Amino acid sequence: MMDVKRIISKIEKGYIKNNLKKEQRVDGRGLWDYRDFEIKTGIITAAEGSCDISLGGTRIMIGVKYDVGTPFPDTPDEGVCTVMAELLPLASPLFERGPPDEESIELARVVDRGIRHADCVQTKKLCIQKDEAVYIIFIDMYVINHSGNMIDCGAVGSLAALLSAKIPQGKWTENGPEWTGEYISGKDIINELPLAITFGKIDDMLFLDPNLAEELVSDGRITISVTKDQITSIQKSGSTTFEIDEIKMLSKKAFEAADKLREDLNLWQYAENIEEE
Amino acid sequence: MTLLIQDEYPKKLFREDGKRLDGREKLDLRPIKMEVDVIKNADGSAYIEWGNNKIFASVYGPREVHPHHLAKPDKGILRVFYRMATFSVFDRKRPAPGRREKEISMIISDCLEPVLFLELYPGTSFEVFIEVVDADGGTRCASTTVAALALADAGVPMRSLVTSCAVGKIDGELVTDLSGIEDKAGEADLPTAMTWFNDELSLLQFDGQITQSELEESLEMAQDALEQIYEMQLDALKRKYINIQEEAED
Amino acid sequence: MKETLKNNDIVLTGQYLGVVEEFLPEKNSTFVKEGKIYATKAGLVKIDDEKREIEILTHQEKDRKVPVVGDIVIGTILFLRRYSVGLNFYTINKKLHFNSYFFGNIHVSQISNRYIEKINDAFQITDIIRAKVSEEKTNEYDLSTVGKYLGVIHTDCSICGTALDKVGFDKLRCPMCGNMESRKLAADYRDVSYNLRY
Repeated sequence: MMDVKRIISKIEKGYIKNNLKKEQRVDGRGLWDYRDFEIKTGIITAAEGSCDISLGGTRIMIGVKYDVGTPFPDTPDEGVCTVMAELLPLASPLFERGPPDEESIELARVVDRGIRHADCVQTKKLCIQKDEAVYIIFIDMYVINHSGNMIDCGAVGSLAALLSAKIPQGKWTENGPEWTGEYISGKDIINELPLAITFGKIDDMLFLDPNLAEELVSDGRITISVTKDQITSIQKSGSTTFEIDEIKMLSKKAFEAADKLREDLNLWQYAENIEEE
Repeated sequence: MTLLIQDEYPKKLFREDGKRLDGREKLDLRPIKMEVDVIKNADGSAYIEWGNNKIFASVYGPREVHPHHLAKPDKGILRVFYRMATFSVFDRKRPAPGRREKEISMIISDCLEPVLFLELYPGTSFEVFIEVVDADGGTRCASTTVAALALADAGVPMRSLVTSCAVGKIDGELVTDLSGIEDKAGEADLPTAMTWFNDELSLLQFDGQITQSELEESLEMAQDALEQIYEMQLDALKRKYINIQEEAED
Repeated sequence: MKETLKNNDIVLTGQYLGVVEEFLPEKNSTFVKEGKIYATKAGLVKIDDEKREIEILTHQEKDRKVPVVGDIVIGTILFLRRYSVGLNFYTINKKLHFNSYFFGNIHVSQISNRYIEKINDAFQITDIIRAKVSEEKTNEYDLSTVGKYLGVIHTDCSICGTALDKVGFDKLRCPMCGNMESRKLAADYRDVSYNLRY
């Protein structure tokens, strides 16, 4: 395995670098272009909300489930939203079986932080009765095919899955929580759409949305989650360093890319409209 | 786990017009859709939609055996990993594999092994990964069917395909291909799989209560259903090659 | 199946192909039971007109995992013997294999057209080399690096580990410590840029 990575970085890195120097990518994109997104929601009948998303060759299945539990003592009137990711060994020969490894935990954590700090999910609306019952929303991501940049793909997919969710509405009674017979829609609990934007770095060259080959040879990457006007999380990973000027430039690029993506994808179209049914 | 809506089973599994709850006749299969080569990273892969079941399978191999001590010097090994996504069932499943998943993995592996020429690949392993993303009864049958298709897509030498389907008894009547509700509320469930090079059964489980004559009848029903599914499997494989054939002729 | 098969016909796993009197079955893609030949793979039929050998080609042919004679492979040197070297290779015709590798040998006579006195003058452990498959044996392969574009494509200094610079036809110099080494170099040493397939 080590040998394979060494071979890739010694042989293919040159090819990718030469292309980047000419402001070209190995798959024909420009430096600041995304691959194509393809989003399908509501495909999984057993889940409350679901999304099948592809970004180029990367494909992730995302499902939303709910549970009713007791709130954390320090936030008695707030629901909980947790993100889990699994890199299925089915998706790539690079993934191994076994308990979640660092890569999958990073994927889940970065997506989770992006959502949490943007006040994207309004956790106060996920409360049924203070101190007694709140919703716990599970967003589970299963990577079906890995071809680079799972974070951006997962972040967009999680939003689409959440928006398309249809969760039974609960009320508090003496016997505990009960169903009112109505549903709450994902769009009632979401008020912001934070998008994760990932940049790769090879030597001193920076580019958007690394694909698998670029991800394997790159020295590092940086993910910036942004809403319309706020940065909500940043994650730098890989054994490289970024200049302060580079970060300034990238944060500007992140807003540009996010604005374009928000317009292209029009995520609100996936929102479940309860009234219409 | 506290859920606001409880999972309820209907008392009757037949409608008043004699059809099943989803509108099928007793011998009808649910709609089945199969596709091969859906996961580009894998050596071979397949996807099946069987009613509401949605299952991906991919095959890697022949490759090194991990852990090493499992390797056999005289033949290759087949390992099947059947997993269900947390959101594939009504109550969110725990992410870690449970006993049921391990048992089904073993059943499927035993079922597929007779058709493979493992002796051609000493010291290596073939790994079949099955991921159920949406489950609605009969996932082990659908998984076996799709795993066989993925192996064929990977170009692993096989004596023939393997096809699987369940027959069961609901409200005292024998029916083909149980759906999720029928499986849980019904009386008996008989999953079968057939290897077509010798027309014999390579998977057979049963739970419930039926008489000996009902068993005979249900095995015949299974055979009819299996033949229909086998045709669909072959068709899915063939579709892949129609384009390749045109290219080859140019 | 009464009609006879032609080249490029689609056959499916388990399909009856003919009898042994008709065709010579190829062992990887067909099997014989009671004198009848069946397909073990789905793919397109290829019938060798002279030998009457019947074979099935799958769509994974260009990404195939098993090397055959004539393939170009890339791997790393594992160990040196007195008259040969052993290496593991990971790519076959630019297709990269993550979890499987193959083992190959290069005999001293197959390294170069020139006379090689010591193996150490041509290769060192951990060198990345490009070679051609010249013979298949059970579970291992004989390789050759005779040719302009075959040989070492990347190597590190044996003293300090820095990548070496090419200074002559077979001479290398370390930019850090000035150490001189010699190898059987490929013409595009350290200038390889490939688009590998995953």
